[in-house]
Amino acid sequence: MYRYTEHDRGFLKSRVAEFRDQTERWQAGEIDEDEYKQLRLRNGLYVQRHAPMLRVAIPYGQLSSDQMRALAHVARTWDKGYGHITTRQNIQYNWPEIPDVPDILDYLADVDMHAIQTSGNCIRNTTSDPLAGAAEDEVEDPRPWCELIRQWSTLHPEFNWLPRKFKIAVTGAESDRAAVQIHDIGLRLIKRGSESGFEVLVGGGLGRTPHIGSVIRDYLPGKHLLSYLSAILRVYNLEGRRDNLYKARIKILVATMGIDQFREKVEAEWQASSDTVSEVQASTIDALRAMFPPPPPVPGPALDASDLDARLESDPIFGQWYRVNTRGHRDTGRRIVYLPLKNDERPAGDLTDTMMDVIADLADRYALGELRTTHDQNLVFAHVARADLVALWRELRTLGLATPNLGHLTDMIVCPGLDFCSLANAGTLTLYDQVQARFDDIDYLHDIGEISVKVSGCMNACGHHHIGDIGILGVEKHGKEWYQLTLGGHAGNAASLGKRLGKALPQHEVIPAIDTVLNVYLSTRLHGESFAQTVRRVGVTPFQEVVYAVKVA
Amino acid sequence: MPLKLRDGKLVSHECTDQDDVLCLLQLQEQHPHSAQAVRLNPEDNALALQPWIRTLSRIDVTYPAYTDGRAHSQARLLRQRLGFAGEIRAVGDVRIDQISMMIRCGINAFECFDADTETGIASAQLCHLSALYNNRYQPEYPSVSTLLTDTVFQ
Repeated sequence: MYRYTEHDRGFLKSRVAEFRDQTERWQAGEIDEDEYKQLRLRNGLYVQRHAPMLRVAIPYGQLSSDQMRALAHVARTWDKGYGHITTRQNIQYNWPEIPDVPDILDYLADVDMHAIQTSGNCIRNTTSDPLAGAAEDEVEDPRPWCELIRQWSTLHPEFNWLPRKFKIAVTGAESDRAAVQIHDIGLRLIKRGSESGFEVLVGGGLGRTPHIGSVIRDYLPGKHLLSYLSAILRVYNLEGRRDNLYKARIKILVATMGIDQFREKVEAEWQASSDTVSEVQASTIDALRAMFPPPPPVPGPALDASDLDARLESDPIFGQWYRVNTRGHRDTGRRIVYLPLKNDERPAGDLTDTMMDVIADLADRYALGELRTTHDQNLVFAHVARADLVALWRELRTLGLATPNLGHLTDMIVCPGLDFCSLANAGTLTLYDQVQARFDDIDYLHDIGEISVKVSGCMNACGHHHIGDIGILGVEKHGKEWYQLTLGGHAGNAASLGKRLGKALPQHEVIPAIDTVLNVYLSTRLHGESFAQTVRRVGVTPFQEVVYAVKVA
Repeated sequence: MPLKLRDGKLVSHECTDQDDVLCLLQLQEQHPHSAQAVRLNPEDNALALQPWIRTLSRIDVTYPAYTDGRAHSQARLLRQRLGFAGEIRAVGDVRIDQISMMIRCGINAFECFDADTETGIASAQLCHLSALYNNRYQPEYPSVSTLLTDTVFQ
């Protein structure tokens, strides 16, 4: 992990002191409500439907076990005993009191954590591959580059008042687990000989007008990363729309101008600043790389592979978990283990303080003291020794964290919806509970295979419904909650946006409609064909006909 | 009374110059040879000032709202690209908590909507943060404390 220096700690402490001072001046009436809002947003503090909400940054989803314990302490001390993992790999607390927030931030600063730029019209927390440094298909570990971007973007003097929020994602693997095509800037690490560089995408995003990002540069040598990002940001800062909140994201600027003209402007800006803008020194990125070393070799005698194989043979429940919830590690002595946070006990992505503490202890014992959050609102232990898998699985089972549903129907992405969010038009949590209850037969889930269900409570699309195999968007009509279904969205290497199934449905018809869609899939699929492949082959019409035929009859 | 960064402090700056401040369009249409002060609106292209950059002693950049960050980039372009060494004055909705970032972008004078804000700014601490991140990798955005000791823009 990135190791904080005295410089970093000094910065964080003074940032907390600055925010404490701003909060006190707001309480004294010296800063008006609107200005305080802007200042608190840049420190992660929203005011939601019931109470303030504090969003704490988890840079590129990477946490130490001590940081996890600190997050548990925050949940216990200043919240109602839980936190919520977001689709941007951060954690949200729904019940802090505003006057306590400087204390919370001060406490978090002691474990090198903060809430800087987790909201506001500025550069947000950089997200990345939750399997970074462990995945078999990795070209290069993206985390040193993410850390570079984090430091560069933190309180960037020029880009703190952008037309709208700005999100950057980085992947270093062949398979994109960071959804780089739906970010304002997406970066794909590429190797050319010994040189690291990036394919740069721009103008992706979900929300009201979803766009898939366009390639602005096939290859950018890594040393130019910050100057090139600066050029994109400068063009956007000067030319992005500020008259309409819904047309202010960079995706609209790129779409209006066209990617070719946008590229010309960025390249011209970049060329012209080349002699006055610093480049990334090789020593800088090397020093950052040294902070993310590969995991040490597994200690002790090598596990006899046949032991695990025998176990997999003899224990079908363990076997199922192993196949669904774990992934290959580049070190064959290790395995990557997912902890899905989706079950019928609590809302998607929620963790109690007790669970956070227990998970932190498990991370110490089984995963080299570190863990990751994913944009699917799950957790990952990236470096588990194969010899420990059975013991870890047993412990996860008792905690309800071994449900073999990763990437399956009940592993939904769900925004907080009407229950918490003041923007939402419709509830999402009830729908989530209904899906968990209706589809609790694990064999049926495995028969359906990999499928993503993503639910947003409004057009802002925090639940990423556009890129779900089944997307569900909550809308409000005549004071009632309705749900618009889409099919065929995808977030991986070739991202695509879902197509509308038909008219919005009232809440009680959503689960039956999902049921129908699944039945059509099961009767239509060719051998071995995934849900996404079937939808691509036959389109949405066959699904539409059946879902809406029932209604007409 | 506008404030100007001088010897590491923001000091009130007597308007003895009584500058005649033109807007960019006037500059472009009238081509005066001796223009000293010009005002950029947020939508103006700062680089259009190139032909006059040697004669200008003051350029105003405007903040219709403190949340509008275009003038930050304009100031950077004036300093970085055009090498402008004179006064860049932030005019409009200028707030205390934004001063340090403005300074780091190259702004060195401030003229607020109201005198109270200016008085507040003059007595405020300019540099809350003991250290910064982004100038580790982009020293072209120096910290305020560096600016105050080096008096870069004086």
